[in-house]
Amino acid sequence: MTLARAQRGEMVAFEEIYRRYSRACFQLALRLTGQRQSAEDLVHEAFLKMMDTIGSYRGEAPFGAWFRRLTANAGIDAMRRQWHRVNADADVLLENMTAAASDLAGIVDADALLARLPPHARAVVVLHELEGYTHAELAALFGQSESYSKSILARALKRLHGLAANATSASQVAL
Amino acid sequence: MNEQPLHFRDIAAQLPASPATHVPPPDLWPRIAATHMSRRRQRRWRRVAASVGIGALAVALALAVTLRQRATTPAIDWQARAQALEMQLDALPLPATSEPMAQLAESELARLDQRLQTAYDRGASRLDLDPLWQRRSELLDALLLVRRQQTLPVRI
Repeated sequence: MTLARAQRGEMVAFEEIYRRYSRACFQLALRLTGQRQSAEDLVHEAFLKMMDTIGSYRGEAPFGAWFRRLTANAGIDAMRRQWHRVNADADVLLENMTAAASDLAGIVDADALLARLPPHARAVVVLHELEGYTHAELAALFGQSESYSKSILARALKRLHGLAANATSASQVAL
Repeated sequence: MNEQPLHFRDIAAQLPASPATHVPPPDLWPRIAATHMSRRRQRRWRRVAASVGIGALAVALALAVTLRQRATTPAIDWQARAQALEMQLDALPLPATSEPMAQLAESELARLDQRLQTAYDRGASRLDLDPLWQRRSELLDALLLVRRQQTLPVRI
């Protein structure tokens, strides 16, 4: 009912959708971007895109899943726009990741852990591990090979595993 | 020994759960709604402007076609008029003597007919031909006037 009204462009229906899905959307945006302000921008962009394209939603997939895909794709589009600032070379990317993530302070939860990854690696981890994207889909989205996405994922997870283990033991020592 | 593949959920399980405080700021929806309404208005204006533009173009085209038709179609069909006058002239009896005025008109008519023939031979446009037919009509008018005066019964 709400969806049908939203497809007719009713603002009240859009507001209802916002109430239901904005938290999940913001959570995903925060994981993808690692920054609150960027996450807000992404939610803003995703909802605008949803309001423009909801007419094309045919109900084949649940609305929540469709909207998560839309948000993730909007996140990748934003990342592509900043592509010149993101180093896409896998080795350089992972070297930077190692250097940036050595400080354990502030790793209080999974989201804080994710925020330690460079944008590209974080997006690969979030999309593959949490959103169910395949390596083939990631390859197409990022314009890279599947082996590139597999390599980034494996090395990022290894790094996150080490950081989480260290953070856990550091917090136990502190206690 | 085979190493177990790592998964983010397993790694995250080592850490406390993320707090549920990750919520968008309260003013985000009003901002989104305002941007959406603004874009919607812009799109509507663009559609209106496009419609007005198309309408204006259609009017301009129609006007141009009408003006062109007016320019190419003479208000008076001088050719038809000249032919009608010639028939009237043929219907009058031939005068016994030729008036000087009639002689002048006849000789100019002959020259004009030559010019008309030349113009038709070179495929002249209606715009070129029309003044010639107009002149021919005027000459025939004059000739008719003279002939009619010549054929009036003389009151004794």
